[in-house]
Amino acid sequence: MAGVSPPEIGSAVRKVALERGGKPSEPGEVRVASRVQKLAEQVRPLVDKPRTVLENFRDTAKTPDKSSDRGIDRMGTRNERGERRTTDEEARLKERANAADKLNREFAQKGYEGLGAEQQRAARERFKQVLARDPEMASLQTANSTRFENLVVEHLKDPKFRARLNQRIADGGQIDISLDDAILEARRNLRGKELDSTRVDRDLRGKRQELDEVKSRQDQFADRTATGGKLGDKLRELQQLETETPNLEANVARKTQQIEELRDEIANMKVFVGRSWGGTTVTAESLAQRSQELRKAEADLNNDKAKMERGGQLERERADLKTSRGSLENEIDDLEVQQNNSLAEKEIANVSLAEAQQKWIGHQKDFTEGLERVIDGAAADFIEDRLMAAEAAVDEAVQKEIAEAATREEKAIISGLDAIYGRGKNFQIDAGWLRRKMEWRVGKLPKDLIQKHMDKLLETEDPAFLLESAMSRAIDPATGRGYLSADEIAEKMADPEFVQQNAGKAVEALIKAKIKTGLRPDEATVLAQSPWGEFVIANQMENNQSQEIQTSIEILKEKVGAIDTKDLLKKVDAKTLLGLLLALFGAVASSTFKGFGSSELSRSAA
Amino acid sequence: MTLLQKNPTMELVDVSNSHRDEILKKIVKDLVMAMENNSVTEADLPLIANFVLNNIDTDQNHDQLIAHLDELSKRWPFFEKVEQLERGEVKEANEDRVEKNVLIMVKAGQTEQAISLAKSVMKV
Repeated sequence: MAGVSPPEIGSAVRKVALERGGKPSEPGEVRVASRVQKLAEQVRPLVDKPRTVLENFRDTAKTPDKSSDRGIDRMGTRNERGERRTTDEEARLKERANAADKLNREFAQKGYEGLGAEQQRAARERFKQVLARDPEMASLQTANSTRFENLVVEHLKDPKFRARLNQRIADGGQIDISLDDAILEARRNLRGKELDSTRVDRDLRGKRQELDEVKSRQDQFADRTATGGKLGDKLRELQQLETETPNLEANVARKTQQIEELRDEIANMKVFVGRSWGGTTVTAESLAQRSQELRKAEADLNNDKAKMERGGQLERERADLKTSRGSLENEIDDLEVQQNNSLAEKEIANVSLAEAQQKWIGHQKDFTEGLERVIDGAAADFIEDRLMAAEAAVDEAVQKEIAEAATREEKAIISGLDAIYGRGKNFQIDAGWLRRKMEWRVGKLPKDLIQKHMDKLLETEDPAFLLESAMSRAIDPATGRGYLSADEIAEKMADPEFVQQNAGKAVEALIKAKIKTGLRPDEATVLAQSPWGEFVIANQMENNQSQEIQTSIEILKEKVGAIDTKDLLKKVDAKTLLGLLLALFGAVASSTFKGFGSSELSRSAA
Repeated sequence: MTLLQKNPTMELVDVSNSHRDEILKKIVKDLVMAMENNSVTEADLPLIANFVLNNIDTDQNHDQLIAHLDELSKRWPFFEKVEQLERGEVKEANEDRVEKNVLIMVKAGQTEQAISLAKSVMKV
């Protein structure tokens, strides 16, 4: 891609780093290919400037905290004006997130030794609780907390831990802002529902007022005489008019006739003014008199008609009021339903808002805990790396031992014990970003079987059953069948010398397996006091090749006044004994985490 | 084990700047290819860059360089090719030098030493 400048690559790298956030990585999740490939596409034209490319990649690690920074800035809840405010709980979370982020970032930049005392303590605490998830390490913590603490510090100082921390920071998740948006949406929805509810309330009030007015007007038509009351004014008027109606009708007819006659007469009189008409002389005065009579008759007729019309008006008004009342009552019923709906919807919107707020605060909590667990995750990755490396070494050693074993029965015993108790620890970390839970599984070790064998050995004081089951379980990979037949095994088991010579190996394998699943001080004491336990432990103490351990044993002997190793086992306290067993038999863990230093042992013994 | 380790008396070959740059180019080419094949995560990129840049300039000789390339390819196996190429080149360069030395010794009449030197190469 021509024309891509180094800063653009840097920006692309950072963009890719930032875009990674948001989703917790699922176990077995396929890495997002497109982003890496997109970046590769941008970088390819610059392979002739390898330093530029690498420096840009490196620079992305210098700002591994960027995505979390953005996340922290987004903590708190926006109001409708878009201003971000924090509740007390959010403020506390933000403070924790900031502290965790600062610790992660400063650890990544300065290393353990560059941290302040409080930050170092915080990092140690987090590492310790991860390390102690390994039962063997928990036993070590019980046996010798100083050594355990020293181990923690030793690991925290390891550059490989820092590399893992950087990786965890780079893998870190981003806060899901859509959950905050959902609060705004829920709030808007609630506001809408509140407005709806207010409108319905207002409409309902108006309609009820109208109904009251109608009812009040209807009161004027009410007949309360049956209950000793009075007639409403308008009803009385109406009844009065109804009583008068026949007279009025008659008057109207009569007056209509009279008016017609007067009009005719006046018309004729106008023609005969000053002359004789109908036996009399028509004068201006007589014409005026007739005209006045006409006006009076017309006025009377109008008056009567108005009375009749008033009756009709009152009837219509009464009917209209009835209709209005019915209509208003229907509308009010509808509005009351709407009001109930609106209240319910407002309540639902309230609940939705509370849920959205709860989700957001929960997410902020997860985000904060995710930041706090960066060290946990890095610790788990780091320990896993070491344990797996040690595991491979143990595997190799076992295979070599089987290959070098001189006889088939020896091969069967080594291979069978290995098959029964398994090897190493199948650590699986479930500490993805934003996960609440971290599980640390000890996968392949058959914990219950190991305990059962240990109990049986201590009870019977006879390890023959361990040898027999080992030989029966062993399979020769070359043939796919057992190294020994059932008859051969029976024959061997019937040979007391064979059992005596080989039982120690089985007991040792059992002790090693038991340590991997965790050993308590009281269990260590019971084991050391059992005949076979004492034999195997003393044998290991005498033959252990580690100068450090031998020196420690000598110091211990002096301190407790023991004449020999068996005497030491009787006199040493339970915790020191546990420490000693961990140093002697700790399989994967002790080879990974080194043995006890003499100073620790002597301090523990003191 | 490299030829140089087998022959401690032989001088260690210094890494030239141009060779250093060649190695860097090969590393970045392989890295880009791994990115294209999705064999590397984004989180690994700064770690790889850090590792390479921190070590490449401090490597004084090919042994140190090979040791770092070895470590690099153990953590990110797609760098194995660079490591193998580097091992091969060093071996070839040393064989050339041994050949010259054998000829010089033969000319100087030091036949036995010449045979011994030649055998040491063949053992590798």
